Amino acid sequence: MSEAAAATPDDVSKQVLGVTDGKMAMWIFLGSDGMSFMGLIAAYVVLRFNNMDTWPSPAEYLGIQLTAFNTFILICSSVTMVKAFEGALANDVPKLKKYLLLTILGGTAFLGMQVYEYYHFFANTHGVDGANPFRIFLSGIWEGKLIDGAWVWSHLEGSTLFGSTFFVMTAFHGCHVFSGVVYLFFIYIGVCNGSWNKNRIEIVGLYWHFVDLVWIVIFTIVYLVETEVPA
Amino acid sequence: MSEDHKHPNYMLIWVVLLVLTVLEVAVAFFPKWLPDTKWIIGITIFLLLGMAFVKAGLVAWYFMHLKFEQKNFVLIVSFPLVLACVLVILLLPDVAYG
Repeated sequence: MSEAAAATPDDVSKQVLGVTDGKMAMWIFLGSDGMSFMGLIAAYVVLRFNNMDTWPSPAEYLGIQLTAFNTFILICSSVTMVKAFEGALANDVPKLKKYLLLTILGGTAFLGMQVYEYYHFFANTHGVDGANPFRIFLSGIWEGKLIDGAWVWSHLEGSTLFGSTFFVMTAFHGCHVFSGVVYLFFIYIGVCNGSWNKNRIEIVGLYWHFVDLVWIVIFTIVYLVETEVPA
Repeated sequence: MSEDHKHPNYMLIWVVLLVLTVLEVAVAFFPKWLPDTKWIIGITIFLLLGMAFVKAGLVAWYFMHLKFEQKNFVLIVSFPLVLACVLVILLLPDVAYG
């Protein structure tokens, strides 16, 4: 176990705030990152409430069940992350490695399901392939009608804002998950090489939990909130 | 560092988070089930946001170990969050006059 960093976890009691420099830096980053997400959320709220009459119903076009399951996966990976940290605190390397690996798996599963979700939006949102009219969700919701043997496409009114805000928010979060998986992967390699310390595990954990926290909020306001009583 | 604290029951928090997620998905169907109830959209949004905040709070408080940090550190790191909420409130006039 290497403890080459300037402030080791053991001497933080001498510092004013009781945290290591690395942990302070991660929290500062998370604070500014939270502001970025909140900017997107604020823009979403304003755009959505200003276009309430044409805003499509999320439940009609987004797969709530699939995403609820995705949320479940991300929450579980957060729990395996604290378990990994528990292992690090106890100097229990096998436990640390096992739970780090599970966390990486959870993040990868989340990303895979997000790709699957996007792919199905692009391919067929409503009905089976070739149905008439046929709808896909790309930048907005496009509807194709078979007229005289040729497909004629037009997008539903108000659906382009729905599409762009949806993809910006979920993809921005997806990029965070991707970075988190890469970050965790390198930490895992470090653990395998014996080059790790408790502080580093705690810092990667902070990042991972933050990604989970943001998803909880995004899932609620993008997928679950309805602004109209369904017909 | 949180070496001297007693570990919280992570499994219990996990179960609470999962139960809240299931409840959220169920509450999202309230407008469909009770379309004639007065204020049903407002009540649903209020419940959903409330549960999301509780879940986010649980993650920050226990998983991110804010519970075990010094009070002045907690104050510093929660400041951006307060500012972010102020940002949303400041944009609300755009909803009214947009």
